[in-house]
Amino acid sequence: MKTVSYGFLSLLAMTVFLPMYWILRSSFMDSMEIFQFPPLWFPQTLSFENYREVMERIHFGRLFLNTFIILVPVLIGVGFTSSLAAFGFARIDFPLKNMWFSLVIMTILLPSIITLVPTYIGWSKLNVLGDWRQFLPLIVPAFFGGGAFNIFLLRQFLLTIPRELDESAIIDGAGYFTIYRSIIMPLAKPAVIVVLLFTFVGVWNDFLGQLIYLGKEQYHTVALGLQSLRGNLDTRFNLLMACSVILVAPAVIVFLIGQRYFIEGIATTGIKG
Amino acid sequence: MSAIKQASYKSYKRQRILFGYLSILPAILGIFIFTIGPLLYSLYLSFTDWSILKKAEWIGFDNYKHIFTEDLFFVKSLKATAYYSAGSVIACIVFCFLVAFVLNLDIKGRAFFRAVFYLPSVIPVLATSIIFLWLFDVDFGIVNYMLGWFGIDKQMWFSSPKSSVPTLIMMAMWGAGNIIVIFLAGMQDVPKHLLEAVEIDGGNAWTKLTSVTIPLMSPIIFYNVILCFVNSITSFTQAFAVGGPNGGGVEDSALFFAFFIYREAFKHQNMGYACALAMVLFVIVSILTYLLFKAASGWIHYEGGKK
Repeated sequence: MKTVSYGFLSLLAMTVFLPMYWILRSSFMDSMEIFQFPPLWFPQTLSFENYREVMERIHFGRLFLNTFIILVPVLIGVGFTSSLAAFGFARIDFPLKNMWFSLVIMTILLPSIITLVPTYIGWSKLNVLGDWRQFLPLIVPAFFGGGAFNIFLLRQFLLTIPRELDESAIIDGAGYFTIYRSIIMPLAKPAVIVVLLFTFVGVWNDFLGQLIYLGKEQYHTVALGLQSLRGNLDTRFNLLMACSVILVAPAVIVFLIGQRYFIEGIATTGIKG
Repeated sequence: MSAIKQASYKSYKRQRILFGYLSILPAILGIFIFTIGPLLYSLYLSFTDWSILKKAEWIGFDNYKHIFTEDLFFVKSLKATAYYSAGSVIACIVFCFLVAFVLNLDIKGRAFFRAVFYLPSVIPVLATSIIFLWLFDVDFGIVNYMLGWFGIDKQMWFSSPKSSVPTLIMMAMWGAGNIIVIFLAGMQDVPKHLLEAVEIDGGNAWTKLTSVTIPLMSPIIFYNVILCFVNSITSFTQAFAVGGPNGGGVEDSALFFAFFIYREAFKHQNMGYACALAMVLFVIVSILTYLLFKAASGWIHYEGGKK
């Protein structure tokens, strides 16, 4: 039984790993090697030529800068508003709380594509789409709640912190904002880190939003850069793979740094309770 | 209670309610501005004919009439989305549950496997799609090459209307590692003594699975089903990236609803029509979610009977 389990898991782990290895391998090959048959498992020369060419074709500096122009305010907005809402829902009693909470949860069930078109029209009516303000549609919503899922996740975590902490702070004369800032948030750090990690991956992964709002090339992000490269050279797979590695790398680095939080985060704060 | 105490209690209570509402205010405002508002606006726009260039014109139910009687792409996209959605929900849930179950069998290196399986779910879907296009390339892909070892003929994968959705489902399974992690977390909470009790009664692994693990895990299974369902309905990037220039795949076999809405709105500039499609999707998703919750209330087991 055990051998079978290990065999099954190892085979599966290899299957999961193969695609990632395969892009890495392909990204170092020239156009001749990449189409060789039978395929080569290792590049014969470790050439960085593809990366050099990709860098030349696309201004990666600008793409990364644009991505971070979105990312940094989004992280701030999500971190602040989602933790504040979670604090209210988990630790303060006020009338109609459950009704509002249900409303928040219901929005998780609503696929974002349904509101995409009217939201886009709304922004275009505000005339923000012609210039640098086209970043706003991707940034502003983060300051309004920061996502129902994040609120839910943080609330689950905050429910596990004993209430006596707040009560004794109140007796000592602390206001609620002080409790939020100096007592609860320091304790909730692991859960907040999880939310910020998810948010990072979410922004890195959000292709549709960036595609419709960031029309001008000078405001393109890394993902849009990869896509435009694709159109230009559909068959230059080695270049595409090098570019994909550049797109994937930050997400993998964030994963490796935050792995423990990521997995423990979903495992312990995610859905139980 | 003294008067002073009472007064301070009152002001404390006021402060509590005030701060409670202030804390959730951004989130609630956000829901009205970015969800409910757009929904109502979309409803209004769905009764208009509007391309960005000309003014919106009220046309009553014409958009809806067109959707249900003339638009062949509507039926196609509905079929493709239903196929993909049902397939990926079932495949991901069953597969991830199985993997989590095996991982939970007192296995060394659980943390390692968990990390390996989780990793793909942080990789951007656009990159995943491009990687899979390359892996599943008919002539140069490694998948067909490896199938050749076993004497299996070349498959068409993304290039055939028959296999394009199943290939996308495989891609979804590859990226579903977060589901495995959620399942595994739930399984580690299943009380050992219940499983031992089954063992004492002479039950095997299967009995353990069906009489203890699955019933106790039912809320988490349901949560994952909902998560997969909403994700699959929203799938856009996959169709965009692997679907060729018109994004629907070979013969529009992978024309997902999300992509269909995008195409109408941003490629054909039919904003009103796209809103009507979005409203139809909204109704369908609401009904399906309601049915899922209704069906779930029958078999979900809550500890101590609490709801």
